Amino acid sequence: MLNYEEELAKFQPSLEIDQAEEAILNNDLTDLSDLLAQVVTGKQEKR
Amino acid sequence: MNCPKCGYEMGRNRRYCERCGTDVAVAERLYRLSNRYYNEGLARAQVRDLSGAAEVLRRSLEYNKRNIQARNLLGLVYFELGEAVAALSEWIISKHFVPENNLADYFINKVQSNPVKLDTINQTVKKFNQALAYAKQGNNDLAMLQLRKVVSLQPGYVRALQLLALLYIKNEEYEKARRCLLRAKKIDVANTTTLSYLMEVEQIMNPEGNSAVHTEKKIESSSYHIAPPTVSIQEDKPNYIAFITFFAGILIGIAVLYWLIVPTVRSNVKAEYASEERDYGAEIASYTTAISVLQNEKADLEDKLAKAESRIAALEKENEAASAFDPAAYEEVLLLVSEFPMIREKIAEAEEEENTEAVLDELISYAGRLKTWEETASSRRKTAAVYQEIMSEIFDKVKLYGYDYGHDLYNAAKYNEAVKYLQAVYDIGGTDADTLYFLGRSYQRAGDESKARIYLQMVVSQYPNSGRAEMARQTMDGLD
Repeated sequence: MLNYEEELAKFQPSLEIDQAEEAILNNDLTDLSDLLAQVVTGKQEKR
Repeated sequence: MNCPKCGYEMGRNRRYCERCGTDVAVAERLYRLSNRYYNEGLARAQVRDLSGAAEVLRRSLEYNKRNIQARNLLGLVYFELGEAVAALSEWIISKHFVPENNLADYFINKVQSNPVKLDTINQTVKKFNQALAYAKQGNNDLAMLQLRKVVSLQPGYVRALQLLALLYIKNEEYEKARRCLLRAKKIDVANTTTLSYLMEVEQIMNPEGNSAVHTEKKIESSSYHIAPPTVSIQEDKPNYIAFITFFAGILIGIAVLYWLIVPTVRSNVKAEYASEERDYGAEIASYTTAISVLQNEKADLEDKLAKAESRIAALEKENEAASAFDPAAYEEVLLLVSEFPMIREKIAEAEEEENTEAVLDELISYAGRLKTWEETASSRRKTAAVYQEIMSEIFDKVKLYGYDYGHDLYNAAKYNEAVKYLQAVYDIGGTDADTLYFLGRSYQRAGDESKARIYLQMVVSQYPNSGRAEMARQTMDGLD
């Protein structure tokens, strides 16, 4: 049985066009490659 | 592939970067995983599992944010789901990573080149957000109103369709919810939200549980397979069965027409004619009644006319009599009327004395005068009634006493005198059988056989069954 309130809570507002720039700038583009690079860089600094 | 540290474009199958010497084995593995997820995303997108494709493509980008193909495809998937701004974001980021020769340019230009479409997209997004706010505030009617506008402007906006379906379910409009969900399912076939809502709706609408959704294949993210093509090529064969069915249908139709429809039509026509016949019959009956009434009225009027004509004739006669009124004659009438009391007194005295013969002559003379002036007396309404009364009384006396005396004279063989009195009785209307018989016999005995025959014949003709008639016959037989 569906819980109306729970289902409704899952819906989030959509981005409007004037909010697109802010959304792009705030977008975290870190991927696993970056994380790997950070890990590698960190090891090298410790040495 | 590019070195993850310095970005140098390395050759294939190199373990270490030729520029900075970084071990790129792990990076290569990450790139391979990213590509594998991209392939999976592509496959899902091709079969319209858009939400599944988006999830997988995002994972692909988590492994390699610079996977432009994955990012462009992700933007395309977002755009198809109705999330235009998210799509533009991905394409712009893609363009940031690869500014030249990037398919994202094409997509961005395609969207931005149509400002009307862009504005529509913006309006739908605003309305969707407003509708969502209404729904969270509890204003479901307003939310549904807005969402209906959104889906009409942007029919492919899956989240709007899902939210609208949720509101319909809340409102117990399950059929409408189902329709929205089927539209959403058409765009994104394996969206779990759509499928779960649809299952809920179908359970409510079809409690026996024959839900088509239960037969849906669940798509698992780790083992997705592309469905093999199901198109099969068959040779075209002539469809004899269709022809046979067609002609059988025609024959059945003709049979139905003949056995069912034609009799019904005929009976309807008959009923119509019978109804018209009844109407005409009623009309004829009413005309007949009217004719009968008119005929009765005509007879009545004719009768009244006859009465009126006779009345007119009487009045004319009266008028004629009045116009021909003779004062001298009327004096005679008045004189007669004035004499009546005296005559009556004499009759009374004679009756008392039992000697009516004494006044009989005077009575007969008075009666004769009365008869003479009867017409004159009748011409005047004032005297007519009185005159008639006098006449009636006097005539009765004359008939009574005149017959008695005449009969006595006949018996006394005084035939001539008997004739005088009996004739006087006859003249004032005494026409009974005895009077006629004895008058005839008196004439016979007096020697006047011709007159005797006249009166005796009257007895026979007027009183054929009386005793006097037989006697009269016998007497006439004895005459010459």
